[in-house]
Amino acid sequence: MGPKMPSAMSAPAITEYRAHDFENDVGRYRGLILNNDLPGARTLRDEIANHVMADIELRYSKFEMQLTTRRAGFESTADMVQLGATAATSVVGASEVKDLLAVSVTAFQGSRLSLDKNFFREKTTESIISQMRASRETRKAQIWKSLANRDVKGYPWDAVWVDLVDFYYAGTVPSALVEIASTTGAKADAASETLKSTVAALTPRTPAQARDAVDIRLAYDKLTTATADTAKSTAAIQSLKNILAAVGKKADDKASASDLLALMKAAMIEAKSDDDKLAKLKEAILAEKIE
Amino acid sequence: MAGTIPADGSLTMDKLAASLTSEEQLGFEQLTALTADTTAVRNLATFVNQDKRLGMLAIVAAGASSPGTKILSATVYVSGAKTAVDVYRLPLT
Repeated sequence: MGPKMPSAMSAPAITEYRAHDFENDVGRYRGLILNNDLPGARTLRDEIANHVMADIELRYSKFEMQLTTRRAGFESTADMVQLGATAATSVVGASEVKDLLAVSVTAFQGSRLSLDKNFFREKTTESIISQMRASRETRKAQIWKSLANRDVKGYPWDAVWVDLVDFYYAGTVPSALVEIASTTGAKADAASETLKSTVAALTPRTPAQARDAVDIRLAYDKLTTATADTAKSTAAIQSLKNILAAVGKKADDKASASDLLALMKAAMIEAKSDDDKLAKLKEAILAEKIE
Repeated sequence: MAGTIPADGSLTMDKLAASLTSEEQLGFEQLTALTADTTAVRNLATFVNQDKRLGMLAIVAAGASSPGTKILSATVYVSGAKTAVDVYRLPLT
């Protein structure tokens, strides 16, 4: 809903880039390139690009309005895609352009089956339009910047055309859904990274706790040595079992000395980020009077 | 776990040294680098796996004396401010 569009804006005769005009202009552009009239070719390139952009703009505006006012009437995602695609095929009239877009329409029709209907419905019309607008503005700015700063050698018509097609697609529902999904994914990845770095952050410790850590590590080394010594292994294994029991780690009755040492190592690693576990481990080791 | 992990930039020298020591001793690791993070008031400590038992770490202001062997010099966050420090490895006890 909105004010009635002025006739000057809505008249196709004024804005529509007719097929034969487009074909003639592209033909002239290629002729200028062949004649090495690069300034002339650049001027014509810009004119053609602006004509096509104007057509896309007008069609998009209508599409957005329809999307807003008729969302409830659409029965499926496919309807939306089809509407966008139909708009696309009427953007420019040149036959090869229509062929190109027709291929894309076919792709849309195929891909729409893979679009999750529920996913689409979870997105409000406003969020989809907002994404389409943002994407279109980005593409439009890129095209304008390239047209302003690059000559026909650096930014020939064919490259412009690729960007214009991209600009058109930025104003379609499937593109908006993909953008929204990727943005959400990126945010989730960032949140996951933040969480990981928070979890992995160095645990602040006092000098006394650092000495406890040193004592625990020394005890581990002594127990490792003792388990390899026939005369001391039985006592060492019992000490390991006692320590593990004290910190809540149950060892299998048949666990070997190396199994027990591995469990103690795991308990030490857990104590890296847990003050209570560090204190319990130190207490358990003190109780064993390890020599 | 070997790798680079962030360390709170508000820690004092003693607590930063204690935290790094605790990580080394309990994690079977060895500190190889300490730098200030460019994006936040925190430090980044890099560790490699080390099965051999190591002495405690001590951090002092750059140029100050300390027992042990100097293992690295760096400008890092100490008590929230960037400070040039020397990191020493104390003898095994």
